[in-house]
Amino acid sequence: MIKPKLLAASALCCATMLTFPLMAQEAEFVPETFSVKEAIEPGPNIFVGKQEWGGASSIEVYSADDLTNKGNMTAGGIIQLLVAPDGKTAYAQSTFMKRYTYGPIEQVLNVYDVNTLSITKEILLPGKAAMVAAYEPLLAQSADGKFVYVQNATPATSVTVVDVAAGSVVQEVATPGCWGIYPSLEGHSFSSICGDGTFASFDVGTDGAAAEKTISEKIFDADTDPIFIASDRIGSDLAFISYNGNVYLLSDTTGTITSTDKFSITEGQPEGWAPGGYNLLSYNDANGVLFVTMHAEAYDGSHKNASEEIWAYDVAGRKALYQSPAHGLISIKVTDGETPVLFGLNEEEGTVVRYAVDPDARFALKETGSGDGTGFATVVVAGP
Amino acid sequence: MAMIDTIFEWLDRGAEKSSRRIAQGTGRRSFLTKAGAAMLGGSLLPMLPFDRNFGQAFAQEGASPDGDQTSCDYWRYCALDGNLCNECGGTLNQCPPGSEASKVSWVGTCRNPNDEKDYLVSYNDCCGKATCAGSFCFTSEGERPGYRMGLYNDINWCMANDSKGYHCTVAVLVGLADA
Repeated sequence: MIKPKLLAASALCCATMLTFPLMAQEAEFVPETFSVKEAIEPGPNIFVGKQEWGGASSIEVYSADDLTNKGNMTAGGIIQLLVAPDGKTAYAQSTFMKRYTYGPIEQVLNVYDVNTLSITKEILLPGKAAMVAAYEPLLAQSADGKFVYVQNATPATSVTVVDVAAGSVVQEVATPGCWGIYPSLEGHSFSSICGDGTFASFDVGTDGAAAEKTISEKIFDADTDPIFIASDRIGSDLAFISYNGNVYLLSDTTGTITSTDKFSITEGQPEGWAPGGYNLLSYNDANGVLFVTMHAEAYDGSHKNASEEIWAYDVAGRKALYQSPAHGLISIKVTDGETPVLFGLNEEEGTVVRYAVDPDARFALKETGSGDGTGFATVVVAGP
Repeated sequence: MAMIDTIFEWLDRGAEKSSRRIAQGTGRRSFLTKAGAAMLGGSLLPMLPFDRNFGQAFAQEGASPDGDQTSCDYWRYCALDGNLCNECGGTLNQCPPGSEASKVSWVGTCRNPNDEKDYLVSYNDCCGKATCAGSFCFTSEGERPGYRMGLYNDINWCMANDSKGYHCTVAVLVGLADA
């Protein structure tokens, strides 16, 4: 006996294959065609690293205007991500565990064409890349984009230098006791934070094969005022913030890190507020305003707590501007321009949230929308 | 902390020598062979200078003489980022059957409210299996970024094992902080 469901399926199949002309005559039905959309919708993009430890991670692409999801760029497990300044090329450092949990692994640098959400190149890495929550300073590129630098941890630390055009690894630079990659604005150097409070800088040269190393004076105290590894440029300086809310401005222009200035964003504010999160600070250059995710009643161990407020701070004037309620954010990114927009990752909701920033109201934030499906995400990048 | 610093200083010196030999295959294997003996791992734990009485007094799951060992508030878990092994077939200091003990770990310093002493707690991951069903706990007392690698809890501490899949985390007492 033919089962009813099978019969129905057979009928549908026959209808699809044999009876189109008849249907077209009767109902003027035009069958749809099935294809792959060639490119994403135009307009500025927001990139979110959706990190998976047991399967495929992805770089989710959202519209900067309304956070509509435009698709994703698929990667391996435990990714770090990087978006080129022009927003057209993206990178992911991927770990592929061949049997998901046990046995051999393979690590690669995926290169993507953003417009088509497609992998254009896959570069095999030495297999030492750090498997760690995503932070922007753990995958970076040289100022000219020639090299991509990959943070390694075995747990001994080093940096793999990848020649993107050649599609190959140039060398591994030992960075003992140091963590994070902060490329210079010119040339092919990068600096790294060291556990003794110094910064090490490495010049790999135009061919990427050198490793000239210099070490700074002690910049910070990792015991009493540890800095987050998140950073942004303020002018030509690298800016870091400590668990206690001290901002360190550092220059890398001479090839060795030097201190430019240090100031507190919590001094003079109500007691107990502190920065918290992952990629937790972002600077709007046009207005000279630094944004930081902040939480109240801070304690030893609260430094990754999600935000209760986002503080806007006038760097040149060294003064607080506004403290906007913003719940649950662990990473933020503010756009460039006179009237910026700030994007944040909500840890609890698994969303990316859009905030309008009002320059006429001391840079207060107003939520204007959100996009879901970000999963475990700690990096958000705003494309041009 | 001095012990931890010494271990990682040694590790980094070893890495400096071997890591330049990129993609030769033997560099990392050789490094890990040497490093494994120095790291906080299952086979080394009996040699570490901690009060052995604690292993007997507090490692008895179910008895919980010093607190609820399935709660993220349990004192040993003050810097734990992971799923509790003792809720998925393991114990406070044993990985579940069939998993691998991590060769490396991060270390927290937690105060035992029962004796008001600070203990070094080694948070070893258990590796090579799918994520376990135990509670996920995330605390970061004394935690530092990767520039203090031995205090860092964001990273996969199965990284030095042959099987690198994260399964769960134990909290092993390895010493007194003031010792």
